[in-house]
Amino acid sequence: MSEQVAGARIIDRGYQHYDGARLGLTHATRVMTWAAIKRALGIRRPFRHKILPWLLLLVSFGPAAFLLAFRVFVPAALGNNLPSYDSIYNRLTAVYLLFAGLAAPDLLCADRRERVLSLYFAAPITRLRYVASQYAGLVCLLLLMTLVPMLVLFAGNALLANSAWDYLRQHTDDLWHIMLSGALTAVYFSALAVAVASFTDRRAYATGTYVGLLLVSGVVSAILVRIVHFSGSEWLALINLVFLPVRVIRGLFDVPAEPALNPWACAGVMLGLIAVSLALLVWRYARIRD
Amino acid sequence: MRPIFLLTLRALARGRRLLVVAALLLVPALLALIYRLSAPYNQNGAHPAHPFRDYILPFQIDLFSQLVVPILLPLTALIFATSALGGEIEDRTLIYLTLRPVSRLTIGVAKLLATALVTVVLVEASLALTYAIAAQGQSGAGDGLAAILLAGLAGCLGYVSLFLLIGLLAPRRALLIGFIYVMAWEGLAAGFSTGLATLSVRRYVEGILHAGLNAIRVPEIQWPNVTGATSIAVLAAIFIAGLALTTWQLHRIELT
Amino acid sequence: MTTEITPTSRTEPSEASRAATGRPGPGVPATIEVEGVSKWYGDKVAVSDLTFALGPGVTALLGPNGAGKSTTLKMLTGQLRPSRGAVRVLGQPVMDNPPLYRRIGLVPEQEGLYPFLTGREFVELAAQLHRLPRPRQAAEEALHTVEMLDAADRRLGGYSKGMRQRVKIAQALVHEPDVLMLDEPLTGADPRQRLALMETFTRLGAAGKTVLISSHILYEVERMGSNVLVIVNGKLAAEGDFHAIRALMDDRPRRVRVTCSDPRAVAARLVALPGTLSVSVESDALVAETAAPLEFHHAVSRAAQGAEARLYGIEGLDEDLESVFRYLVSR
Repeated sequence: MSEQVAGARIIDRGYQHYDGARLGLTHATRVMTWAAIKRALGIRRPFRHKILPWLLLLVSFGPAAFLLAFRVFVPAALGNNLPSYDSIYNRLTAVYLLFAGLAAPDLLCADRRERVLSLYFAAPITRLRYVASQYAGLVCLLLLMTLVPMLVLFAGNALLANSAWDYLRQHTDDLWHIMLSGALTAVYFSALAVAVASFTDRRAYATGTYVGLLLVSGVVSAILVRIVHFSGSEWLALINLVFLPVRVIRGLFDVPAEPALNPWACAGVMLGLIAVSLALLVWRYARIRD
Repeated sequence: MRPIFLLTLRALARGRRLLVVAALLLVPALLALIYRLSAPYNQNGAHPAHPFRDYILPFQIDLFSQLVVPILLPLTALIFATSALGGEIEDRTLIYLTLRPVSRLTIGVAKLLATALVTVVLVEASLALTYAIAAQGQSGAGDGLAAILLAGLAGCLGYVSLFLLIGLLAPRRALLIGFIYVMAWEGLAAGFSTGLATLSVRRYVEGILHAGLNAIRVPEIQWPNVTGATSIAVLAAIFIAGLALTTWQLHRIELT
Repeated sequence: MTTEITPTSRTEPSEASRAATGRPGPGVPATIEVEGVSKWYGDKVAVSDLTFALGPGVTALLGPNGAGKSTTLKMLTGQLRPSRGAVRVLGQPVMDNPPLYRRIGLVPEQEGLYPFLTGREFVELAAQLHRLPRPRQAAEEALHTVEMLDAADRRLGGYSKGMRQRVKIAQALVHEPDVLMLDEPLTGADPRQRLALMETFTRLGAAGKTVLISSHILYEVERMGSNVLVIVNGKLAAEGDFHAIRALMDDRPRRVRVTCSDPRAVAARLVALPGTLSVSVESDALVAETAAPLEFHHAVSRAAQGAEARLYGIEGLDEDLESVFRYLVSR
């Protein structure tokens, strides 16, 4: 309380109770999601935390930018062999994978290692909202990498065509396919990364396990497909976790994949993996005692 | 030396980490089991005369050089070796070993031997199990086992010594550095000129394997252009050099 | 001592420990010698131009947080290399000198321990590495000294902070070192354990070992011995017997508390003295600040007589280590 006498006052600068408006849990979750995005990008952190994420971000825009630049300035060089959207997704898989593998441990492991979780949970943030906000932040960033370059490419193609409206009308399917592909890829790699990151405190272990798991799955599936031959054994190719999104994407764009598997089934497996990963994440965080 | 050796053994061979590594090293055995059960060389009515020599052993070697040597072996060595010394620095327990009347060489040797023992036991067990499962009861079984085990042993020793040193020099980044070395450097250097490739442990492991298999028909793998004797010599040199540098660093290390 | 005020008994060093004062002297060679030692990390100077020598007995290393105490201790145990200057312990350079470590014990500040070892195994490991002839027995004795025998067979991972601290002290004592360095050894110990540990350190000091304790708990530290090293902002601010340091601080007035039956009347007479700087009156005593303590003490009984008040006690308020410390830090 401040004391006031005519013409003068002493202001009490001690501890005050806050009686104003409180913005609620939704706002809090939104703030945390935005904080997760900034953290993964290294904003407000030393420079070395910015190098890799921004580099990967740039690389994800690379193919789209180069293609458009070629089409505008040197159209003859490309001829008619324009790389399709699914092939770009294929090539950029490593970039998406790496980004998720580096960002997820940054978002989850650091808080556990520094033991600040109890600080978060002392506020009205629930464990579910905390975990959801970190995951959402990562997905937003990956969407930035998987969706935006493709949409830019699409827009560029439309503008460079003889008639933009005609192009749009003829290729509306492509637009939906891009949105779906981008969304699925982002959600998938993020889910796997946060699931792995929820199991260990150390960032290095989390990144290593995630990348190692995906690599080993690739090698193992390649070996299995070669050595095992019984009816239906080509489904073993689904063990390759890295290539799974591209199978679905190729299915969407009607491009055949090796070996030919029903893309709906692949999508089902992918959704199943996402569900399991998120379940593991929630389960781990429900059990953590700081 | 014995107390430090036993301490390191206990530190490494425990808990979740051991289970994860063991699970990882069971994957080749699992694949061998699947191969054995599915017996792809017996498909379509074909029954080859020498299934072991013509199919199973090449598969083994394929498995070894595609999965074990590039990924599983270095990863196992990396996980244990970076923890043996680098982990002690990170956990701030190294002072309890260095502020004692024990020579730095003794500390280095004890750490190296303990880490090597844990790594070698796990890796060789995995290799032997994989071989046994795939080769079960076939005539000609036993060929190539010595070469595989020797190459695996040499690889473990080389990688462990190297990663122990890296763990000591850069404890916080050791895992990352080792990872990049194994995945990027050795993965890419394998495809490039021989100049760069001389700095790759993997190359010499494959060299030993190739030399050990010389009488046996081998699948179409890109074998490195290096003799068995050279490979053994280089890996031994890496082992010794790693120990020497580790000891040297232990002399001058500052524990903040 | 140059003042005539007898400090209250809590700061009086005991007879036995007067022999080993922590300072080297004739017939008492220095066990720790530091000459012109500085340590910097790039542009940041942690410790600058330290020069001191310590002998057998207990010495307290004092200083505010971040002053450089831990850095100094680490340089004394060979954990850090000085950027400049020389450190000698028991006459030998301490860096990279394993045979010397047989005679040095360290209780580090950091908490890291091997979680999978039991307390007993940890102390036995220390004994084995020190090549003691009977490591198991030595470990038992050390654990007994720190009162950890009951919990000795539980894993370190499950220890409380105080238990971890005591087991760290045990591993530093197990080989009976000549030089014992302790970085905040009393943290986490309950009052009774602290008393027991302080007694141990005092005993070691009296037995001729060199004990260097870095601590924040000043009133306990001053019970173990009077030799201090004060480090402020990386530089040595004072060294020696803290009573003598206090006496040297004569540019600072003394505060004295006089307990009597009529403080106001006595205060009125004392305020008339030329040396009195201020007087404050409480219900049963007065606190005066004086630049001339000798005259003040002579005048107190006369003032009480004149005021017809009964004098119950006189007490110097800033004779203790804390006041000395506060003064040195704020200079």
